[in-house]
Amino acid sequence: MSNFIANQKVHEQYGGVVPELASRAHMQNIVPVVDAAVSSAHINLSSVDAIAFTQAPGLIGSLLVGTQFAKSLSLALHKPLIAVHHMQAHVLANLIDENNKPDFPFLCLTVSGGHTQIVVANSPLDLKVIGETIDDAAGEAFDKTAKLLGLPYPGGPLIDKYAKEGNPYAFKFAEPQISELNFSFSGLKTSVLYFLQKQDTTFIQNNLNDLCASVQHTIISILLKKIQKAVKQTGIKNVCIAGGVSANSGLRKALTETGEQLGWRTFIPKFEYCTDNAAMIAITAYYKYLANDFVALDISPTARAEW
Amino acid sequence: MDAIFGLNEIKQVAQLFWKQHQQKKVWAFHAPMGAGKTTFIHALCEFLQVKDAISSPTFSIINEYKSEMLGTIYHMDWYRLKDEEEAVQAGIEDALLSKNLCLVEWPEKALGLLPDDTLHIYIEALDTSTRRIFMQDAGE
Repeated sequence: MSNFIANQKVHEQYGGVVPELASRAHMQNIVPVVDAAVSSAHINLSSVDAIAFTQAPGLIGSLLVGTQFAKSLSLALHKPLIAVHHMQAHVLANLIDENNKPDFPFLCLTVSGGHTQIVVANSPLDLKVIGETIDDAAGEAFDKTAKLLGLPYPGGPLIDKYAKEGNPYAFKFAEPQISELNFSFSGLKTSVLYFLQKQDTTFIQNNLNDLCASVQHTIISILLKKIQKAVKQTGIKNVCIAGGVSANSGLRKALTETGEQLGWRTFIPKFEYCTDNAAMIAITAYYKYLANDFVALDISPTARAEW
Repeated sequence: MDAIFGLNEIKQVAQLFWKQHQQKKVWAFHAPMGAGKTTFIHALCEFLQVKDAISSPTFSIINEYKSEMLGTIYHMDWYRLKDEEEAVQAGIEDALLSKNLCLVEWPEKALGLLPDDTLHIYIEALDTSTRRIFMQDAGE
C-alpha cells in the first residue's frame, strides 16, 4: 500500500493557511502524486483493480480535478470507477490496520477542523450519522479559542501543548445543553471570550497553561459526554475516533481512560490515517469493490456533505 | 431593520429578516468572533427548510445546502482566506454569481467580490445572551 500526500510545497506557498482551496494546485500536483504513489508501491497502474476518487464533500474546484482525473484513468485503463465519500472514509480509516481494527458494529467519533460527527458503522457500507455539530466543529473550537488566547491560527496543537502544563479545572467554561447526540461549540467560544474580556491585560500571559488546559478539558468533556450517551443508546461498546483532532493527546488519553472505566474497546488509528489521507479513500474503495459498488462515467462530484 | 434579541427569539428575528429582504441574493454578515453569525444563519436556514446539517464553514469555506424552499443555498466563511485572490481560487465567484442565496461570514476578507446590491448585516454582542442585529452599508 502507498499513501501519498503532496502538500509540502503548497503549504509553503500558501503559508500553511488554505492549501486545499486551490484547484490550480491540485492540477499541478495530481500527476506527480499519482506517479509517486504508484512507484513507491512498486506496481504498474495497469495492475490495479479499480480507480477510486473522493466525490464529496469539499470545494467543488478541487473535487472536480480529482474526479476528472479518476474518470480519465478509468477510461484509459478500462478499470471500474469507485466514488468515495470523504466522511465515510474517515470512519473506515479504522479498518486499515489489520492487527488493530474494531469488529462491527462500532461507533466512530469523527473530529476534525470541519466536522464533528458520531457515526454508527453496522458494516463497511452501512454507516449512519447519529449526531453532528450544529455550529462549529471541535477542531474549530480549538483553533478559535486559541485565537482568542492570542495564539496563531490554527492554534489547536498549541492548546494541546500548553494544556499539558496546566490545571484543567482552573477555569470553568460553559458546556452546551444540546438535545440528542448533536454538538455545539459556539457557546464555548463566547464563554471564553466574555471571560477574557473581564480580565486585565496580563491575565492570558500569566495563566496561559491553565487557560489552555481548561479549554481543552471542556471540549473533550463535551465530546466524551455525547459518545457516552451514544454508547448507552446503541449498546455498542466498540468505540473509535477519526479525523485530525484525534491527534490531540488529551482526547486520546480521555477516550482510552473512559473506555477502560466503562468496559469499551477503543480504537485510535495511526495519526497519518486520522488526518486527510488517500489510504482511507482506498480502504473504503476496497469494500465498495467487494460489493461491486461502481459508478458510471457520468458521475459528478458534489460539495454537499449529505450521505 | 434593527433588533435586539435573545437566543430564544432568534428564529423569529431570522424570519422577519427573510420577509423583508428575501429579494437579496447575497447577505454579508459583519461581526466579531463569537457574536453569533453561524447561529443566526443556522436559524435562517432552518426556516428556509434546509435538510442538510447546517454548520460553520470556517474550515470548508463553502457549505452547500439544499433548501425545500429555494433549492441551493451557499453558506460561506471567508475567515481563512487571505485576500480576494484566494477567494477567487476557492471558487467564491462561482457561488456569488450563481443567483442562489449566498450567506457570507467574514466578508471583510474580500469585500471587492461582493455585488453592489449585497445586504450588509451587522451583529453586536450586548452581553453573553443578548444580541443586536441591524443593517447598514458596508464601511459606514
